[in-house]
Amino acid sequence: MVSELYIYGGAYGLPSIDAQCLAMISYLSIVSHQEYTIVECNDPAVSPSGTTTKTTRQLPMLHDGNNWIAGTNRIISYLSKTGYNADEDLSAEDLAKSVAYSALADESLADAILFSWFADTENFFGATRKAYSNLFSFPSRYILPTQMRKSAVRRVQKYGHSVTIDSEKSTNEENTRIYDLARDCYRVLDRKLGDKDFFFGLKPTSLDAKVFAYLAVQLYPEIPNPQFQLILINQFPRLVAYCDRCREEFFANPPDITLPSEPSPFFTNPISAPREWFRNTFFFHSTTSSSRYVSSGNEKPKKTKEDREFDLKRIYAITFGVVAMATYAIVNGLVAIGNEEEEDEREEHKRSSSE
Amino acid sequence: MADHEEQVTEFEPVVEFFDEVQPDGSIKRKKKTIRTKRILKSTTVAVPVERTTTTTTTTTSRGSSELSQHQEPIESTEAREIMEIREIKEIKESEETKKTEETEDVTESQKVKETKVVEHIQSSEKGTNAGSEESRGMKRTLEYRIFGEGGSKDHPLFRFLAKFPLKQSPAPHTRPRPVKAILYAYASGWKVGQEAPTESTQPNVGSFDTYLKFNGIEFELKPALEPSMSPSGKLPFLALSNGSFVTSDGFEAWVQENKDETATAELDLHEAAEAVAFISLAESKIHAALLYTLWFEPAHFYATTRQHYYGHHKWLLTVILSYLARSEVAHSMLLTRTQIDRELIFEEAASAIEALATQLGDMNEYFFGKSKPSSLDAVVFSYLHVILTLPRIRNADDAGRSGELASIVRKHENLYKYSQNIWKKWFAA
Repeated sequence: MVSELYIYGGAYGLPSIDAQCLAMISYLSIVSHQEYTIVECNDPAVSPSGTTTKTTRQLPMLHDGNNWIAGTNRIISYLSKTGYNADEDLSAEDLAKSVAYSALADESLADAILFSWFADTENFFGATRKAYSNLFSFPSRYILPTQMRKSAVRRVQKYGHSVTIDSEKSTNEENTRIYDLARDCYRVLDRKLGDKDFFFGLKPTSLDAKVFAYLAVQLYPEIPNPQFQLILINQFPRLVAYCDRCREEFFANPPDITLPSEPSPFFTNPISAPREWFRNTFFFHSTTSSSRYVSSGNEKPKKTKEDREFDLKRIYAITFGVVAMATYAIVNGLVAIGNEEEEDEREEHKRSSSE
Repeated sequence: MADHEEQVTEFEPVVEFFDEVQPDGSIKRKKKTIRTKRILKSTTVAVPVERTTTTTTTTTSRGSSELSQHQEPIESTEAREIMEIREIKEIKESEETKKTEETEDVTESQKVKETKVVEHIQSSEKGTNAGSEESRGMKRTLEYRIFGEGGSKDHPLFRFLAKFPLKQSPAPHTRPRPVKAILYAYASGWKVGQEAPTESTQPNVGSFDTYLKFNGIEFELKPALEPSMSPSGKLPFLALSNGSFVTSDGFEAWVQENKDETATAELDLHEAAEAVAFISLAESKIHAALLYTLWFEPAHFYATTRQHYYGHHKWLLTVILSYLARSEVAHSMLLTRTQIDRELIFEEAASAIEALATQLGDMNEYFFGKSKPSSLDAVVFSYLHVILTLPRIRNADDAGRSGELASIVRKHENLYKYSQNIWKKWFAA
């Protein structure tokens, strides 16, 4: 398997700034050593699922042969179907627990990170915005971090009314709920971990990949207001030790960072390859049918039908626009068809007759 | 005056006005502000002092009459206190004295001057305090501008308004305080108009009343359809017999305080940790699939969900409100995922349900093999019950999509039995 993993680039000494991408790197390093390469693409909008349905903008993304899979959970289930299963040694009960704990991590730990990185004004302006804008290219550098902040704040707003995007003051004192929640979650994980090396014994599993990723982005970055770090370091030294252990284990031999192996239809840019870009942007559906993504097999015919309707509507709209413009021009006398010469002739005729 | 001197605490300034005919025929208006105050920054540190400032302004048309700042003392004590005040003012701020001098020159706007005096007496006293005091001063000034001298209380308009209401009859209908806690929840069951026994249809509501039952707390369930009747704007909420309300935020804590200790199972540390994880699993994965089924399966949305939540309105409102609610649900779902992908949501829900089935085991009545239910049971049962009791939709377009979640649950025999048993034991009676 030589596959490519498309991720956000690194920051704070970690291979990737994004917890989901980190989880994916960890998972891949558990199941297959050195059989994949990493592509830092940094732009979620270019993922293929992003081009087909408007709402999806998701990294990490795995490119394996002809398949494009976006999203951590989808990639993990895809990989475990193709024989790279980190959880194969687990019993049914352990598997059930793994599912439960990873759901907990996806909810609480993710919220804690979003809160600490985005909702906390000090952290956002002091660290997060800078880290993200280092990753993005020129125009999106100034737009995307703020957009990410907006959506993150909307997500963590349930933890306190004072979490707003405009609040200038630090949000620590009023929002004890999120800290309580994070503390509860750390405590649960700490108990589950116990004195074991990894959550289910000596071998790392997919749960380790996920939990480690979420803890790592909370623990390692240097940020102005490290509340969660303090909680982790002071109250849960076992989890910190676990993180260090996992970091050694997963990131010891980082895979090569390469450019995309094949000129992907999704990664052309208008400056270096204008022709490709033009073709891909405007004639996307005809050129990329060979490397369709597989995220939902049975939705494919429906999608194309919708697309066809959309194309039809677009043609209608353009036609209508052109016709309307032409009508406007003619009605208002901006353009006169055919009459001009006649009028001229008439005027000349009048003039000549009067003379 | 004497009784004022004895008071130590700070109170509202009493402003008195009285006119006095001077020997030269002019009428002088005296204004007396009496205020008791503890003064900190002066030679009379921390000594309770009653202040009396007497400022006089003239109301005569003869401009030659100069204002005398202080009239001849009415009482000797007053004079002493005036001296004190003047000292303090000089110590505190020079601006104050400047303003006082301003009052001494007669200008055309006499009222404004008086306002300033009032203001400055206040500001000099409370200069150390911050903005709230200032705003109070502002308010007083405004009050003065509206009602004139003597504050609002003396103004005829105020006195007129104070007469209303002319007569206060006892309320014809006071709401009786509930004898026991009342849970207001979406609770009318799936079929609209269906009477008791009720079951909650919204998953988190379900977990509320299940949780209360499991904890041995007596309560009465009342169906409600208007989320805005709750103090938090969300149903369900709990109205207590002491007149206070418990909303979803304080619910857990309230139950922990009031629960019957023997009713629920004791979980050890590891089990409690696992319960937290599995509750989070149910509330994220199964919840998402249930929301999808309720709001985004067209068959279900049109036939049941819309009717259930908004059927009591006129049809136009039903349509509008239901679409608004649906878009709200969509937004809330998109907070934690990048797209609403039916396949992924149901895949995750299926794995979550499978995990729960495995965790429950084949023979157990409750989770963790206990003989009593725990909080995990409350959450899981309410989800399972709502899923299993969703009305079935039979039509060609739907093609079994709306029943997919229920069929996933039915695949796991033990979960199905578990749900049935709890329903029979706790609710059906």
